[in-house]
Amino acid sequence: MSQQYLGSFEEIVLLTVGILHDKAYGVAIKEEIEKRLSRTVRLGALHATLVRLENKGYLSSAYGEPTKKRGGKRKRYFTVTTYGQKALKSTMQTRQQLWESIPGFAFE
Amino acid sequence: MPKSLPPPPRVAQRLLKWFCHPDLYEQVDGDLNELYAKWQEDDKMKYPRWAYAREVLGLMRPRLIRTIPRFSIHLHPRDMYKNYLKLAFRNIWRNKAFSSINLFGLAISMSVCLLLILIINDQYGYDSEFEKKDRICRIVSERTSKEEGKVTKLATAPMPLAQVLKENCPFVEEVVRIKRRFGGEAVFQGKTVPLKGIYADQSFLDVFDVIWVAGDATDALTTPNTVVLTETGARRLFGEQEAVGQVIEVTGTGTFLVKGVVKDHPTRTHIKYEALASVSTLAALEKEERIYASLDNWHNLNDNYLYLLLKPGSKHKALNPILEQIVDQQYDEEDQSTYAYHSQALLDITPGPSFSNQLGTVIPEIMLYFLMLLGFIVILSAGFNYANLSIARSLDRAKEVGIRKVSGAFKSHLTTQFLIESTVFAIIALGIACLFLEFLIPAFLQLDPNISRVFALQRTPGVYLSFLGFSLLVGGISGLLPALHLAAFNPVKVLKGVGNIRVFSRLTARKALIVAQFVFSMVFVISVFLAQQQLTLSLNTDLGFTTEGIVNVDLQGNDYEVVAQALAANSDILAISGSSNLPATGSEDRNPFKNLETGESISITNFAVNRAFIPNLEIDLIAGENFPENASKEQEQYVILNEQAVDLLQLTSPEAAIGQLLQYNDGPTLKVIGILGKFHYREASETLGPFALRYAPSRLTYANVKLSSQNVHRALTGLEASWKEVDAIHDLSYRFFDEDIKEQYTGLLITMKIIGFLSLLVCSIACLGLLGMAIYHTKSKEKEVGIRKVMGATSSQLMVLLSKGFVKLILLAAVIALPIAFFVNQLWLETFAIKVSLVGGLISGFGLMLFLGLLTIISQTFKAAIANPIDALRDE
Repeated sequence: MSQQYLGSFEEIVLLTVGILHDKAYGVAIKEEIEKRLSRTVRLGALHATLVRLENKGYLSSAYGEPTKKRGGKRKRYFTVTTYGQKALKSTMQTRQQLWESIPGFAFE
Repeated sequence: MPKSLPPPPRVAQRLLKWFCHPDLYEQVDGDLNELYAKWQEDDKMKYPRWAYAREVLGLMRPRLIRTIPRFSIHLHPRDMYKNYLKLAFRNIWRNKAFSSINLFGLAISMSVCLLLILIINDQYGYDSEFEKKDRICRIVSERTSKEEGKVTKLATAPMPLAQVLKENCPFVEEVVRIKRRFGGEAVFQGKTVPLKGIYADQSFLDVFDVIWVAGDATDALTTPNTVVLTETGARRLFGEQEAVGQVIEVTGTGTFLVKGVVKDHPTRTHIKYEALASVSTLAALEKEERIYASLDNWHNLNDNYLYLLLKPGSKHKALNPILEQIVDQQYDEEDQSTYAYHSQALLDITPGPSFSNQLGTVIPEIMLYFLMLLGFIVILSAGFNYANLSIARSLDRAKEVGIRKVSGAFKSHLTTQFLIESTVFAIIALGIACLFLEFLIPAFLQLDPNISRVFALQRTPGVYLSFLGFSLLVGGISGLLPALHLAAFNPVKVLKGVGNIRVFSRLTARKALIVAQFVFSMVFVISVFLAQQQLTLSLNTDLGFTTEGIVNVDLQGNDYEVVAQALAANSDILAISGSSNLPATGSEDRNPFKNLETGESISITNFAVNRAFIPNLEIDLIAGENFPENASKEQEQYVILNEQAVDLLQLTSPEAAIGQLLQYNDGPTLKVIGILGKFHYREASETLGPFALRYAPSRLTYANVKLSSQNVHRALTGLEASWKEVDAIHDLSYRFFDEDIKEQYTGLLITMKIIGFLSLLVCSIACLGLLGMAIYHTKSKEKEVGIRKVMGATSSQLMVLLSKGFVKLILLAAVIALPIAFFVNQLWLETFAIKVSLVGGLISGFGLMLFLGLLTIISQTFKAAIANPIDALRDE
């Protein structure tokens, strides 16, 4: 459990990659997060997190085709690995358990 | 869609490419391009270019930037350094000729630099031992004479300023008045000893941290005729006896009650004393007219100093406006000069700007800078040698470099290795230099008695630390050029065959180094030659009077007539005369003389003499005659002028001047009775101004005794015996006239010794450098020489071939050095009235350096030229 710890921004990025399914690349992820969470995302922060998640094995990536819009540069598409999915689920479950452990009267 | 949109900022793009990790660059750059295109279409985004730049900067994160390649990960750096050190020692050991040339040069020049560091450290530590040093300042003066517009900067200040400052400046805590020239000789129970001291206020004791050994500090210096002695002074006067409460007599000043004994002042202070007398003593002395009035005199800036202790937190500069106001109040239009006063912080005094009337010896700042420059030149020269010889040796090291590179060493490794080598060198040289220093310091201190009084040259751990820092710096800088040169070898070329590398590829740089060294050497040598010649010239100049066999006896307050009578009985004494000053020894008094006919008044240097003075010193008169025999001894009546005085007093011609009347110092009227021919009352080096000899037998302070040359020793013993009859208390004090005059050139002599020593150093370093170059040059041409010889070249042809290049360098150095030497020496020679011609010095300096250079080169080329060619060609 403890090895699968996810930071909150890491979790957001991982989930967004999941949302975008096979269209998840830098700018798309950035805009998706900005749209859904109404916060700005620095490209630097995003890429740093992507690198970290990939190093941890939660993400895998592959190059797409180069486009003119990107100055002839290829997109790099990210997909959530099975290991990543497990990490997300375990995080969610942990949260769930924590929620359920709160006594009924505490949040009233 | 408008097509002419600006591209993203280029700087940001390049920056990104530079720092971004190559694996990430493509996607990141692509993302940025896509975003940028969107921003340009977005109306809300005003500055897309700025946004782009901001995003680029935001990408500078540890995870995203290029990792710095770490090559030596597999090697522990400590092991490599150990290896470098070992190699450094091996290389030093293996090339003994090279190493000793370098070590010797470096060590000697380093020892000189170490001495300079000591001197500079010493000077900047002056006065820093006083506890209140940051709050003490002194008042300095600037006197501008209205007549000539000449500005004199003085370390002195008028005495009454003290009271005014105390009343008008709320932030002045204490004022200390100091007057120099207390003492001379002190007498206690019939024993006379020299004692040097100052007059000072009671506040001196507190401001300058005087530490009491015996006696009571309160009111020690408030009443007249009290004195406080330092331990040195007290020991000299009283030995082991109790000092406090004793009464001593100070010759010519009066009797003093010893109020206490204090610890000696620190060595590094400009205020030096063995005794402190109360300032209030001066009042009585001034009343009796024994000294020139100063206590209430706003115009006396001769011997008085004002030191102020400021309240904590106040700035000494704040005194300046107050001082300006005071000047306005105290001086009026009728004064001959205008005065200005400034404050000077205690710590700015030594080293500091040059002032006249300094209290104690203060070395001017400019002198220190000059010394620093000399030291810099010396060490630069030695550093050049190291660089030069190391590059020359690159032939030997080329294979080593090649193999190291092939085995995976990078340029940076090799640079480090060679830098470590040069640093090891410098540290060994430092060790030797420290040894040399122990011999150098006593030699330096003995140059002149004054030097040991001014310099303490303490060797503290801090100083040694700075030595170490200095040697590391020298090692690093001198090793840099060879390190970069050697590390840049291409391993393939080097390993294919040593013949392929161009050893002399940096020839221009190395030629420049040799030339620079010879330029320095030549300038030095020429300067020494000129100084030597000037000194000889100055000493041998006809001063217009004879000094032969003349001994000047200080009368020490005795009546001249009495002394003369006692001495006259001695058959070894040929003649005797009296004077108030001694010509050409640097003492002079000036007083106004007024031409009664025209009313013209000028200030003239004058001596009081008796009748025998002119014949005794064999002085020529061009008009008129010596003072008459029957002249009154009490009432001054006669004066003898020199030609300059005749001109300035508008007396038309020497002949016409005879019989004219002059008023001396607003006092007696004097008749001009004779005109002097050539008479150097000042040193030969200085220009002569107006001068007068007054007939005033009551004002003599020296007896000029001419001794028979047959037996000087017997004459002096006789002189001593005769003196004892006259004055049993004082010891006879005499000096040979010619030695006294010579002493005027001590400054020049010391400078000459120092520059002479340095030039010897620079020359030998330059020659060592040249020697090293010649060794490697001939060695690299060994085979060429062998082949030429086999083909029929003669030894002399070969020598010319090998030496030609070096001779050209020396000649080039001469072309640069001669004009520099000319201008530099012109500067100081200007100040001499009689000066040697520059040409002689230039030629001899150039000749000497050419000779030394040729000797060095030929020693090597000769060996190569006469060698048996078979030795060089055997291996082919």
